[in-house]
Amino acid sequence: MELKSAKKKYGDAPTRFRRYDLLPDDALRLIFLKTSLVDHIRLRVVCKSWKNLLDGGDIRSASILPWIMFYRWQPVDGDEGFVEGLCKLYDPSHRKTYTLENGITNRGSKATHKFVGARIQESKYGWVLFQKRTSLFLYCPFTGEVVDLPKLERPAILATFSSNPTSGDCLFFVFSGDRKGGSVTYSISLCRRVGEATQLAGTLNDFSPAMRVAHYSFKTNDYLPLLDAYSKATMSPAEMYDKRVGVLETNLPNLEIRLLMMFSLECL
Amino acid sequence: MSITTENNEKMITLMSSDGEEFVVEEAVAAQSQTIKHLIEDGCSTEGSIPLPNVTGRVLSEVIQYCKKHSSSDDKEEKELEAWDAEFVKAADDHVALTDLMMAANFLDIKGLLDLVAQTLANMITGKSPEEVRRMWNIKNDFTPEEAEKVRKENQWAFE
Repeated sequence: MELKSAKKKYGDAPTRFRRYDLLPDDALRLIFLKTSLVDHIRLRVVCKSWKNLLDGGDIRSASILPWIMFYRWQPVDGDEGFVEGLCKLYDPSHRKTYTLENGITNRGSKATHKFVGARIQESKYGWVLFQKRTSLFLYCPFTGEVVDLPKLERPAILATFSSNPTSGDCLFFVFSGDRKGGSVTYSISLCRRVGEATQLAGTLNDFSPAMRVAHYSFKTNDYLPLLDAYSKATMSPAEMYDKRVGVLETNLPNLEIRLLMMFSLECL
Repeated sequence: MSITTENNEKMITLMSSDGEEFVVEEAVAAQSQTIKHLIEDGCSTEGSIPLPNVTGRVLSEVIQYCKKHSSSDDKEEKELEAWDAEFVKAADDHVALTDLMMAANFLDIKGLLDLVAQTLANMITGKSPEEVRRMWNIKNDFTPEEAEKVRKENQWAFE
């Protein structure tokens, strides 16, 4: 075969000793894009320029499947204030399990109690957004960092965020609601990082009680979250559940949110 | 100088950094965006196109790849995949592959870049930082304390 002969001819040629840390960043980036998260973490230790490149945040790992996080936090019987924690990560693409040692494990402080009974709302950019009644907090399983969000007036039903939570332009959207008497009141809150703290920036309260937010996602650049909502629009049984989509507009300088439009999916 | 073959294919000459000349069809050479732009800018009409970053050994491999990929159409995708696999296997080691990567990067040949990047990525997958440094002869510019700190940040990934 042609290729084999080419190899025979040139096979011994590349014996020069070269420094490949001089590989252009573009080329390295391409290689890194095709390696996994665990490899990225190991490659950070190779040299300073590789660490800087990988820490730049624009190189995603090549995992085919999303990772799974197992977690369990529970109070220890008979030991007041002590919480036992366990956090494991599973990479389904490589069928490997990692046990995190720097997570919230066996720490006796009251702060760990917030994890007991908390539910995951969203996971992005290496951060997990937890919700427990009216409180929300972010947890980074890789570094063990915990970031608290402002307390809400009503228990959160759904919550998500727009970009890397450590960046200044990250916005948090929370859909919350509670039942008073016979009626349920819903609200949508918008939070934003100001310096080190995360502050409540605005709340939309006049939300139709007949509407239930099923899911929402972000168009990352202009922060227009989409709402998939079900609305009991008419009296006719056939049209009881008319699927509607709403778009929220966020006015960034003034940090206001308003319902920009609602439309039925049948119109599309 | 542009030469035209019997079947009216325009030929161009590429010259490697070590002075080796390669006469190839324009359609083959134009798989490199860099060369394509040089041709469009009229740089190929006078003599050969010099490629000061690519040696003759590497350039001959690149041309093999471009020839194969300009003559195949979509129907032969499976065959082309098998050919690609054989091509990177023939390049044999990471040094030859890195040379190819540098050339593909300079010449801007997307398919070849992807192919070689994937092969190199497979090679470094699961390797320790020490093994990767040895592989590419990379100088460790961390102090032992700094290296330990970076490692400690995610100790779980090293076990």
